[in-house]
Amino acid sequence: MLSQANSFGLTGLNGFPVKVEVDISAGLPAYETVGLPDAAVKESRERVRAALKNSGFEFPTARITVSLAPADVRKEGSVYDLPIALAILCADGRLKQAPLIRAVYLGELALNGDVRPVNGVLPMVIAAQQRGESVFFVPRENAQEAACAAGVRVFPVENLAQLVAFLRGEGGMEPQPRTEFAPEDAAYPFDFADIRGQAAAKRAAEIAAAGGHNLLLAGTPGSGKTMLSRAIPSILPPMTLSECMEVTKIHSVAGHRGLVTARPFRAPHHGASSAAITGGGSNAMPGEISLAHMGVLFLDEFPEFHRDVLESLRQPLEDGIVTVSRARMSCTYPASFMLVAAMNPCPCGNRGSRTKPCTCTPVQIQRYARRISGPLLDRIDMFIEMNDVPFEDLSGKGTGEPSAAIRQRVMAARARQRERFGAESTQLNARMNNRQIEAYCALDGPCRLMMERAFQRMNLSARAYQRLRKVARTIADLDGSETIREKHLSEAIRYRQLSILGGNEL
Amino acid sequence: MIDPSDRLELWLHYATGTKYRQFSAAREEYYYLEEAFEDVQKGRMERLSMLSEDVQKRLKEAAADGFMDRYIRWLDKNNVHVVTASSYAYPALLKEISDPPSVLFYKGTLNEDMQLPLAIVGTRRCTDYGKDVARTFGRELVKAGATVISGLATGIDAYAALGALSVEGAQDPTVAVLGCGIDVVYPKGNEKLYGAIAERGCLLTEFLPRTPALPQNFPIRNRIISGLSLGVLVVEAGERSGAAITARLALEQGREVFAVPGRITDLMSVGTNNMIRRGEAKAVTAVSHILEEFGEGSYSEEGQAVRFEELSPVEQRVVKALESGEKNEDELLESCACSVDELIPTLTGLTFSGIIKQLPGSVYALDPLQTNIVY
Repeated sequence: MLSQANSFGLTGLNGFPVKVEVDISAGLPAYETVGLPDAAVKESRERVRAALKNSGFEFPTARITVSLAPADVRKEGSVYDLPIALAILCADGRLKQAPLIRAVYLGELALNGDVRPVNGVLPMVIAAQQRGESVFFVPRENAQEAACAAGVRVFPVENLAQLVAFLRGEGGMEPQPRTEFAPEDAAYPFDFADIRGQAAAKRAAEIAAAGGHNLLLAGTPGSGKTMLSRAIPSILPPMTLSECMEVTKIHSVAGHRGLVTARPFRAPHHGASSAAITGGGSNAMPGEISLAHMGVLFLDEFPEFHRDVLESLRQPLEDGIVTVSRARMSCTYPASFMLVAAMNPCPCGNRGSRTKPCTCTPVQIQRYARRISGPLLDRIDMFIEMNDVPFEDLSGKGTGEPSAAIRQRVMAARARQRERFGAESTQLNARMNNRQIEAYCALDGPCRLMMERAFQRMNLSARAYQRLRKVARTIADLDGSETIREKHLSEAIRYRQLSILGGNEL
Repeated sequence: MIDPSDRLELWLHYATGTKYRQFSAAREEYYYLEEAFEDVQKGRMERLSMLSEDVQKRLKEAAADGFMDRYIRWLDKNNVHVVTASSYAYPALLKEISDPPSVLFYKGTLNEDMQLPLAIVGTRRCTDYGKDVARTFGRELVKAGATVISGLATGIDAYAALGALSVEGAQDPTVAVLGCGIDVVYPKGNEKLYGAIAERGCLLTEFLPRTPALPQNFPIRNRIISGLSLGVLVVEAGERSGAAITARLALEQGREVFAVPGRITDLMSVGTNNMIRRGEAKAVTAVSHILEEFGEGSYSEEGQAVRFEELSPVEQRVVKALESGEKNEDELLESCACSVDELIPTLTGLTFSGIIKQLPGSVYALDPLQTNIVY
């Protein structure tokens, strides 16, 4: 007997339909899986056999051929356990064919017949929905995520026996209610109100959030670089529904279950490989920069990251997407994130501290500065050195403004940017191209004079000059000003000064 | 080009190196060094038996055929000049010390009558304060007509030389005395400065070419720094430092010693403050204090002046707040009663006008070395 069941597969974020076909014929008992299965798919034989037996069904003693079509695309993971089991039951004459081709089945089987969650359910459901599918049977743990998609009926499956009973018309299952998003209510663990002092650094974070600028924080250990960075997602505007979906899809592929409604904050360790950061592995999984999409990528101990890792950030920082190419596949993931880098002011960490002396020699400091300089530093719009906070201040009461108030200003500034850019693809100051900079960041007489002085004093590159104008534009937006005024530019210049970079004149 | 008359002194110096006494002993024994050279070539070492075995060995080595020709060719090719103690071009002040180097190698121009030679020395681990002071004094002293002598170490020495070189059009503004061979760049980080001094000033050493920068060389080098100078200014020095040795040597040589006072809590000011406390050094807080000592009183410091009432209200508040010492942005916000988006542009403006300066850790301070505020 022959049977068929519908399922789905993923390459990167794109789903493709998979037809699971089973043929049972007389002959010596055998089990063959074809259609480029990986090890996990091949092993499904043992899981399916045990799950069927332990759910009270007989595993047919015959020659069984399982084919996963299309035959020339590699199939991965345990997502096909459930459709294979159902197709075997159907080929054995215990289930009708019709329901198996009218719905999409996803799920891994436990040996006792329970259905276990799998990765990437949301992108598969969305892709299937776009191809006209509307009914989905997914593991119970994945049901909430799957039910975000519009226009679908999602049935949460607990175990194989329950599903077979339902498909035989015995009832017992209810569709999952549509998952409601509330990105506005997303909770963030850190609030700006908790951070004491650091008024200038907070102001810099506000500007960076408003214009989508990348930020480099330098400061003595314990000055609050990490805490400030962790609080930055809380002042970014809440994500829209479609942004939430996009982010949830990426996290689903990476195996994180549940909805992502809060802006992501990713803090990879400085030992991370370039594949871990940009994405990779034989199946081209998304890396940290894609997991930080729409949120903050925080690189603590910035100069300690491997050179090739930092270099690999350059292209995604410009383009907002990353293409991960491997021998077998090539996937493009979104990677539009705000880079927040943190570093000590010198190798010993105490430069600029008032309580501890710095023991670094000028040569050591120069060498440290050289690790971050060059093209990458040119892609960071704003630098700020944190103030050294004495211990008494840390134990005192926080008096800062709450994140919610700052977020209002950030949103107002972003609204002004949207209004200005209109239908252009750029929506943030940080992403302006040179033509837009010329059009929107005009400098008047006093500003040009200021810029000339800055050039003389600070030894700026042409790229840094453009970055200064972008940041000045954002400061003017926060101020509600149509034009960039001298005070906006002066403030922007302040965020281009890093004492460690000033010492290499010898 | 090496003067042929220097050839034999170079030969003797090649063997004795920095051992000044052996050099003079041999010099006293032979009125004509030609005789010594001939004796050594013929293996007659009797009259030179007072020299150490090592020196005798090297004398023989260097007396071999063609050796001195190769040595002198190498010096010529590398643009290294030589001045010997018997030469009229030898720095007069240096001749006065008890152990003057017998031969000096130099690159650049060694000015015969150096104007007001003054040494600026200090720690290699200078603070930003020391860096500013060294640079300003280097620059202002050159403007006032002095020549700045330093040791081309990192830190204070390098910044003093940088300050001296920053005066455009100054003739031979600075001399750097090395603790290694003339062809050795040490420390490596100063390569650019090494080149700039060779071009516009003078690099000087008594060590043989290719001598590495060994730690024991520096005290030997220091006596030349002070010996070349009328006075030595110590900008920053830790409790035990090379700068303190230079200052002691300067006192022994009868030269003036000045020190820039620092805060008593700064590790890098302990040495200078101690010198002042013990009466070994005169405290100096302005360039004119040094110049007055040498009768150059007419010099007036060139820093710009800004009238306090011409500053904007926020600027006035910032300046007032900084009068009681350096402050970071949080502290300024507290004492200036303004918002952060008002304060930050003001700080940039004041920094660009040279009224205040930014220190590491987002700390700001008044910059009286650049600007005087007139109330």
